[in-house]
Amino acid sequence: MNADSATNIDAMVHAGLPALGLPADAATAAGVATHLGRLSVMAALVMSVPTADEVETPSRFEP
Amino acid sequence: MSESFASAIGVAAAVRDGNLTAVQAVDQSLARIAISEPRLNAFTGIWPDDARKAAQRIDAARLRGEPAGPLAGVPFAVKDLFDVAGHVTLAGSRINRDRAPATEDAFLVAQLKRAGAICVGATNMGEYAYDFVTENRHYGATHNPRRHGHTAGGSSGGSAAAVASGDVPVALGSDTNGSIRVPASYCGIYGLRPTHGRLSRRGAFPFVASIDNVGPFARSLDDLALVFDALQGRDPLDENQIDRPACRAADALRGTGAGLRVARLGGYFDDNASPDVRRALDAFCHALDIVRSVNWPQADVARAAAFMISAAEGGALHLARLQSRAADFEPDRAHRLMAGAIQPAAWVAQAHRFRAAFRQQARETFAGVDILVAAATPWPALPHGTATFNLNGREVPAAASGGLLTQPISFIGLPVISAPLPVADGELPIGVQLIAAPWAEDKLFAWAAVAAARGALG
Repeated sequence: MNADSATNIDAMVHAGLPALGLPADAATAAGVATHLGRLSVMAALVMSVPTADEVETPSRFEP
Repeated sequence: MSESFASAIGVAAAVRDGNLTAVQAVDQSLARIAISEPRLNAFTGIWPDDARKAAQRIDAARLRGEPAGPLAGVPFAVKDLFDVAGHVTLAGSRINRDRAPATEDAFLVAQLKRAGAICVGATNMGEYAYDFVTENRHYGATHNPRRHGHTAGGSSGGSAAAVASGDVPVALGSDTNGSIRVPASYCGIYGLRPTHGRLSRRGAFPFVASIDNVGPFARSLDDLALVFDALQGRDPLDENQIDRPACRAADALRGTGAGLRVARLGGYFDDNASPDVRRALDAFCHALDIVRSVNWPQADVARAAAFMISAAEGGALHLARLQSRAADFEPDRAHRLMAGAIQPAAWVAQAHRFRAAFRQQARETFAGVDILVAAATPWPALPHGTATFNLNGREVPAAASGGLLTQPISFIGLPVISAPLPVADGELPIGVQLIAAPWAEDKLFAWAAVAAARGALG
């Protein structure tokens, strides 16, 4: 999934909040959209970095 | 030096030698808190009865000829996310007021008590540790002892303020994305984030399970080492802890740090430091003949990935509370956590995969370097309520960006000492991060001792 500009933040908020049983009033939705927008910018950066298929997520992170 | 600014080493030695009773040490700390607290708001709980009873037990044991611990009679404070038996662990929240009091001490609290230290209270923090400023709506903002009206940093702001003001010689904090190093920098004291997995987290209220860490604050390197040595110990009940030989930090301070290879983290870390901070770090590097520079070209991605993982794991942790008691959160905190909870799983999984790749890049760096240095915060402490800061021509959100320089490092679990740089009278402090390879805290302490001996630390 590409997190770049194609991401529809409002659609994610309006689907995601009720799906998780969270308040979805206008003020909450607007606040969540602001933060999800920031996260999407960061996600675009992270998703743009190629990682080899073999790179795994450790079940317990060890430095 | 006034009694209120006594060191942990000094208090313990005086108690062991019979020149000071533990009760006197506790009373001095409580008297100091009574003076400073109306100005600082560093504490959410002060427990004089518990502290005096513990002190009496230590004094009685000494009179019976029993050996005193290395921290005998040393008052300490804990960030209000560590369980202390008999008290409710608030974690900076309103919601946690409804919890039952803790039935046992957090592992680290127990370790300090076992060494003879005495807990005098719990300190203010950002709600659920998701914060760099400790401007808590439920318990008020903590003020910086160096300049009233300015942030003490967060989320362990109360602990840093209590140590910097002389209320206590040492305190405990937690650090997921910088919550020890940021307040240490703003308040001009030492803070240690050990290697991920070094210390037990049992009994510490979580935030981001895969990144959370815990550690001490102190006003001197000697006290930091003394406390770190006392905190270490195998906890078979903490699945996060990794079984490794202990670091003997106090011994490392007397070791040979002069031959260690040191480099400055450039690139992202200079780009995200204000001109004043860069100048302070330039002077530090000049004083210590640090000429080599290392660049981590993906540090910005690491910070972004840490940000995403924090939001996701924090959102998942608090999901039930957000569903049932959203109105009891600080509104902006609730919105951040909800955003984290509804992030696509693919984003978060990729952030974790990047973490593994970035860790490998850092490992390669440490093949040729023992210590890396970087500023701890992009700027010195800002006034409470600062919304944005012009950072080298970019307007950035001030509160959320306090961890710009700490997040890429904690993301991969490296051990870090945040140490104060020298500042002129009246100037706000700034800290430097001394960073080592995993499990190399001994090198950190050894080299920090060299830097301190050469007058490069405040």
